[in-house]
Amino acid sequence: MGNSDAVKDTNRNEDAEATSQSPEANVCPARVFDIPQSYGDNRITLMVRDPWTVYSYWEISKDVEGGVRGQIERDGLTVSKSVLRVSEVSGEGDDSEEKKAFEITLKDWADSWYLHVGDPGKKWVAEVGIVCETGEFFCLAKSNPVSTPTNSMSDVCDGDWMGSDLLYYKMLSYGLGESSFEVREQVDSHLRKWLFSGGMTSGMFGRESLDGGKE
Amino acid sequence: MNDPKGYLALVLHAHLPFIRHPEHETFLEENWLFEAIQDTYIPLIEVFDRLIDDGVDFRMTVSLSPTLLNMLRDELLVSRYLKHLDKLTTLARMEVERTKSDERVNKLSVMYLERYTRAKHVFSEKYNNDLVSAFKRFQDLGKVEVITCCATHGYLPLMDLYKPAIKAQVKVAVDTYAEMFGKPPKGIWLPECAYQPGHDEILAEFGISYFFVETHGIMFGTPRPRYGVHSPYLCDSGVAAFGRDMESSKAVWSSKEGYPGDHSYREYYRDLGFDLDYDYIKPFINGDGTRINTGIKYHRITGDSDFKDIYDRQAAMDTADSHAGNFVFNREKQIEHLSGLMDRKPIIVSPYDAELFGHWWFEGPEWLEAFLRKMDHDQDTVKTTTPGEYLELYDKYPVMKPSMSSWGYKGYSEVWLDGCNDWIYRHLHKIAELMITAAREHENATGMEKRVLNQMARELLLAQSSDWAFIIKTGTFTEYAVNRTREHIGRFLALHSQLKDGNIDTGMLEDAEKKYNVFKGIDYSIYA
Repeated sequence: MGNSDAVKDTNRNEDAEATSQSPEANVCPARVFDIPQSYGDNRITLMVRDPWTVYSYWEISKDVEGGVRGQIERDGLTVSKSVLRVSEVSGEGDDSEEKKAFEITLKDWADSWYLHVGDPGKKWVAEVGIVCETGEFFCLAKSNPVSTPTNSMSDVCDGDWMGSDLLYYKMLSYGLGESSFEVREQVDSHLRKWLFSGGMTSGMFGRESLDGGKE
Repeated sequence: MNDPKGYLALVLHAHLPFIRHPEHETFLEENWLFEAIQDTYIPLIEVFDRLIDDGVDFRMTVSLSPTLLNMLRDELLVSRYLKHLDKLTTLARMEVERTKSDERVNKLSVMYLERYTRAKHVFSEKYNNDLVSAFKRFQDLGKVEVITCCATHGYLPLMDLYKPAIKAQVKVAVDTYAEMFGKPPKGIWLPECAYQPGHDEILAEFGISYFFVETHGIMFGTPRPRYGVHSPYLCDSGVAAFGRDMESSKAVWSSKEGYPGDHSYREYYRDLGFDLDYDYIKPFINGDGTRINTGIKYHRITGDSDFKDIYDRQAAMDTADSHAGNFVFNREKQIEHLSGLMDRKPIIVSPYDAELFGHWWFEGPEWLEAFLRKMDHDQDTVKTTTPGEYLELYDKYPVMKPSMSSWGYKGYSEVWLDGCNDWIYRHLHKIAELMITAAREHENATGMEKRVLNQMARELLLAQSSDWAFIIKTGTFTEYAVNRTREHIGRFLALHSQLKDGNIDTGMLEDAEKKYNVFKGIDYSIYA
């Protein structure tokens, strides 16, 4: 273990010297299972990767797409392109509103995308659809909404647990030297450096495998 | 100890994915368990035993993942570990003979032989081939708070759409823990320290009192954390979140700025498996003749160049002792600083992967022992505690909603959701959805149907191990991780199809039950 290059392609270890039977040698060797490319669904799913990025994957059923294209034709419109439309959601429940943020033109083969939504702490939804030459949008599938996390300290304070700003930042500034009026920035910067130092997850799989040993 | 000014909670998270291959006489990836037992779990157990024997007052928190607990109690894997240990002992004996003309190296050969002999004693004689019982003992003595982790270390934020799947990860963990330790767990280590707002409600449902988040999970929470990461915060569900302390974590974790990179410590990447003559070492490396690490290493880190000097055990022990003293000193200063600013006693929470201690950082267990002794004997400012104990200190704790976070690179989900491993999620989501539907459609299944549904639940859980996505991301052992992911998804789909068609392949089911015999008492209805 650890010097993984030497062993990475050798899962199976046929020990030439071993002659005794394994206690459960009657279990069949691992069989190869096929997993499908798609499941015949019609859906798009959003997943949050980080405050700035949302991952989407989708599968559009031929029936649904055929139906929509038929509708477009019946309406006398002409298909321009397939798109992934990303909207920001504000408000909750019946009062929620969606505002188109940006659109990505899709190639036929695309079935997933990393959406660089930019602003942390926002709620997003995406649709795969068809845009006509005259601008009309026909939705093929609409995603679940997702909320990206914030990436900074909250300005909301709990009235029962208030301390002065000075005390607060002094407490956070341990190890950063003398506190100053710029300490919030120092704390933020220190935290970011920590998060980007990498390799925090390791277990038995290599301490520096994600950052090449750099910190 | 007098009334301390604050507390330190050291948390070790021990985990390995479920790897058990009865279909092969030996299997390379099973070595991860054997190495972890040899390098980390036994040395830590020896440390706790010595501290208890010497009357040292200490508190530690150790999370043992349900897959690891199952493997530590698996008869086949236990017997294979013992074979592995016998092989190592043989090699060490040969080494004592081979190196007798070189005093410096010979001392190390003897050290390894003594370690392996002691390991056999601890494993087989003292704890009757059951290391879980050692941790139970430490917990029953009030020294170690053993907590749980999700069933197969599933990365919860990326299964957020399927709440029953998250519940199953938690419930199976709690059930496994209760079976092994005779009571429910107080706390949980969320896999990869990954938290998604709202998941605390599921923890509350299963009686869990606390979990941990990465530093920014607290720092970016709402409202602003009055005490930084130096107090737990109650979520709306009533479950407490403890935040990781950066300073103390870095000192131990970082191989560059931290203690483990000291030049006197043992070098991990120089091993007899690669250094010695092929014919000599062949019986002790991989069965197909590929060189692998044996665990016997004679060099110290020395410096950044390729030149590696011979390891000096006494010098390394002196360094570990000095580093332990430094860690105590810094925690005293940290607590003094914090206690002057807080109207309650601060807590420093320092979580680490358990396998860092002993496996990667050879001297880690000795450092830990020296640290805990000094904490008890040399100062009165800081006392070690557990999160469970700290939560009994006060009637009220501040309330907050922690932010989504993980302890992975960059602090969120990028490691597990990346161009190289994102393909797994459409399948994981699909089989979670199928599992939920099947559980609802077969409410009171019996006989073969029930067995199929239970095995489907095991396959889903095993496919969800965060380890597979992590390994694929790191690019080592990728083939194994991809195969395991495909195998569990594929078998789930096959079983699901058989259940649907009423045409169950008994042979395939029995094979799966034998091979992946984890969570024997699982009840699929958790997904309903």
